[in-house]
This record gives sequence, C-alpha cells and structure tokens, in this order.
Amino acid sequence: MTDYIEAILAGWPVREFQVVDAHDHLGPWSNFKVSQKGSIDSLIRRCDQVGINRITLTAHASIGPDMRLGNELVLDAVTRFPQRASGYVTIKPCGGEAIFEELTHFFAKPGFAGIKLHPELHGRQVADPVYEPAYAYADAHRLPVLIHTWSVRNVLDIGGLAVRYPNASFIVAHLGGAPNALDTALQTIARHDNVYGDTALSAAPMGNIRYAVTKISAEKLLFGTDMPFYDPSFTLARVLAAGLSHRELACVLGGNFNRLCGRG
Amino acid sequence: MKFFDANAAFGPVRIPAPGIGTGVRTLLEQMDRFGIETALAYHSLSREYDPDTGNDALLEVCAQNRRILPVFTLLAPASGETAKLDMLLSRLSRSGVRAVTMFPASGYHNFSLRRWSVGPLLDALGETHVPLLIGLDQFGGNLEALGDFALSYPTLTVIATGINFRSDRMLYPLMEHTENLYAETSAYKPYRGIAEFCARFGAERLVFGSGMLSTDPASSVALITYAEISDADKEKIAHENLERLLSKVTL
Repeated sequence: MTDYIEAILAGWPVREFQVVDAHDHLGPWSNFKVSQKGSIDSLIRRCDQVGINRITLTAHASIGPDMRLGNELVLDAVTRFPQRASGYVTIKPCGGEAIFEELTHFFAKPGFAGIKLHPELHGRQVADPVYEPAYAYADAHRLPVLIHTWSVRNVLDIGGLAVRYPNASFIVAHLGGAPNALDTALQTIARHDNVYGDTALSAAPMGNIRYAVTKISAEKLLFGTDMPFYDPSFTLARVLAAGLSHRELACVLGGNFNRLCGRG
Repeated sequence: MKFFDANAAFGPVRIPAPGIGTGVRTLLEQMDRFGIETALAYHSLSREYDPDTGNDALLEVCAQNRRILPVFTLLAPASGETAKLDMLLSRLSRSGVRAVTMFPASGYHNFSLRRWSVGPLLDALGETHVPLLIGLDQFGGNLEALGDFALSYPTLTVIATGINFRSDRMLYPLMEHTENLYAETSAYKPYRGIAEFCARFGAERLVFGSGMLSTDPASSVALITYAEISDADKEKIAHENLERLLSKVTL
C-alpha cells in the first residue's frame, strides 16, 4: 500500500504508524455543539476508531474564559489516560506572576508536554509583552509552545519569538490559518530551526500537505487535528493521502512531535 | 463503496491554491484515486467570469467525459442576460442538465433570491424536481437565511453545500422544519457529526460531495468511511441519495 487510500476507503484505523496528534481540545464549546461534550472518554474512543495513539489536549475552557478550570480538566484527563493523552498548560494573558504560578503548578505534575496560547480569542497579539513570562518559561525548560495563528502578522511575530527564545520550540498552529498566510508561515518555519507547523485546519486545501513538506521538509510538520472542534478523520486522511514517503509520514504523524516532547 | 459526487468544480480561478492543478484532468485523477465514479460539476468560469461562457465550456468537457455531469450556473432572469424560462428549461433538458447552481451573493453574481427576482424560475425547477446546489457562503454563512430561503420555496430541492462544523444548532431545527433541504457533506465535519446527524434524522438528508478542486477528496471521503454509521447508511450518503434525487427529474 503506497498511499494508504485503500485504508481510507475502507475506514480502517491507521496501524502502520505511531500517530501522535499535537493539537487537540477537550470539553464543550460556547459557539457550537460538540458531540458528547468533547469528553476524554469520547475522544479516546474516536482515536481508537481512526487510529490515533496519543492526543495533546487544551481544554476549551482555558482558550475561553477560565484558564485554571481548563488546565484542571486537562490534568484529570491525562491522569486517567497517561498512555493516550498529554496536555498543554494553556495560558491567558493574566499577568506575569499568575502565568508563572500556573506554569509551575501544572508542570510539577506529570502529563504536560508544552504550553498553548490562543491570543486571538484572548484579544491579544502573539508578540504582546503580557505573554513574555510564558515564552521565557518555555525557553528555560526547552518546551514547545503551540500558538494559534490566523494571519500573516501572527506568523511574523512567531519568527521574532524564535530568535529571542532559541531554546523554546514554536508551533505555528493551522500553518498560519488564513490562506494568504500560508506562504509566510512556511517561510518562517523554514527559516528558524525551532519553528514548526501543524496540519490542523478546518478547510482541507487540496495539495497543501505535500506543498508544505516540499517547502519546509517533513521534519518540520506536525500532525494535528483540532479534535473535537471537528472530526479527526478529516485531517488524518489528507495527511495519509498526500503522497508522502513512509519515512516522511512517520515524521509528520508522530515522530517529530515525540522528539519535541523528549519522547523520541 | 462507490461515490457519486454532488459538489465538484474545475477550471481557472482567480486565486489558485498552491501545488495543485485546476483543470478537469486533475479532477478526473482525483476521482480515480478515491473511487468517485461520477461527479456533478460546474465550471469555475461560470462562477468567476460569466455563466454562459462557463456553461458552454462545461458542456464541451462533459461531452468528452461521461463521468462528469453538468451543473448549470443560473442567473436571475429579469436582467435579460439569460434565456427566457421556457427556453432555459428546454436547454437544460437538451443538454442533459439535471442539477443547477446559483451564486447570488453580492461578491459573486449579485442578485436576489426573493420571489420578485427568481420566483418563477425556482418554482419551475421545483415542478421538474431539478435540485439547486447552493453554498452557505451565498447567504453570508447565515443558516437562518438559508433556512428562510428553503422554506420560501417548499417544492424546490435545495442541496446546501458548505454546511460546516459550526452549523448543528441551526441545521438540526432546519431539518426538522423542512422536507426539501439536504446537506452536502464536504465541509460538514463536526466531531462525530455524521453519526449524530444520522442518529437524529436518518441518512437520507445527507449527500456526499467532494468539494473539489478546493477541498482534498481524501478528507471528504473519510468523513463518510470513518463515520460511526452502518454500511447501508454510508451507501445512502455516498451515492444512493443523490441518485434518488436525480431520478425524480422530469425535464
């Protein structure tokens, strides 16, 4: 099987790769219905159905109004499913001391792999100084930081952070999101050794996985689905069918993120 | 499983996506890869330039490729840019057209879907059971407006494309209150969304679409094949529902 389309057409779960999803959520969301309230039990069942071995969670609560509630929900999930789920400590722009306390509190517990920021939902820019304690913490502890992006400016801001915090790794969520940000995102990822992109995108532009790998190499692209914002089959299939080699797929589907998290 | 695609397009576009062709050859290659036997398609020139030019180009392609079935792009008739209603219906029949589409939004073809604009045309399509494929983007992404439209033309079969993962809170009551509304699936990707929809409404109101050439068919196919529904329901969505709708056309 060279391009895995047989498996997609049959609806078979992926067995050939260790699939690690670098971009997931948890819980219900204000703006639309999330099936089964996005519970961890539901997510794990769905992972089994499509063939995802491990997910990396941010709770909707913490990209929304309540950072602590969300991080506690993630802690509970990764405690219940330590072999299947890791967490991001998600940070709101709430002031340096509060950010530092949140990070030290949760990174003292097992199961957290990185930091997540959603500046758009929290009314900030990526480079807002309010986030500097989080970036400094990531730099000091060599952590990945997953940052929601949806504009050229978001992506360019990450390029600046990559230089200022060389020991942290930055993940350009959604490859810049907005269609006109894609090429800037790929240029930024290619330019900086510590910047990566993820595949989570609510659209599925034909050909863009292969295009991205051509521009940044398979080593800089991370598999992410945004589950349960939308169904993971949607992104998993277009990665599998992108025409990548077995080695490239192994990198994208899990190898790269495992390495970033110190697991590989 | 075979797929019958309700939502494909090809041809040049103003802003092409990087790394992928836009021609009919690309469409056919992708149909082959994913077991899509047949596709309803419109020509991008119809959307982005001129409906008549695009419709003519579409028929030329369809004459060479029997797997691609023509979807004519229609304007509101009052401006006099298209044939009168009886002539139009005759042309649809002669050309083998069994589904049509419209792009009424202000940034596209810029006309009204109200009765004073397109009432007789849409009533005629309803009487002949010709489905109208129309995107949620043509209503500014507003499902209320889409719902009001479907309710205004109760005999017209409306296949809404671009129904997305944020839609269920309005899509569900719309499905309860209409019988003529169907959802095309290429953008309908709520988490477990297909399974939840089928549990609530059955599989008969969903119609597979690939969304090509903008959407990767791997994704649109996977939404069906990985859905937690019976194989029989997958077959309905993949091809049977669209076959049933088109079998009713009496042009």
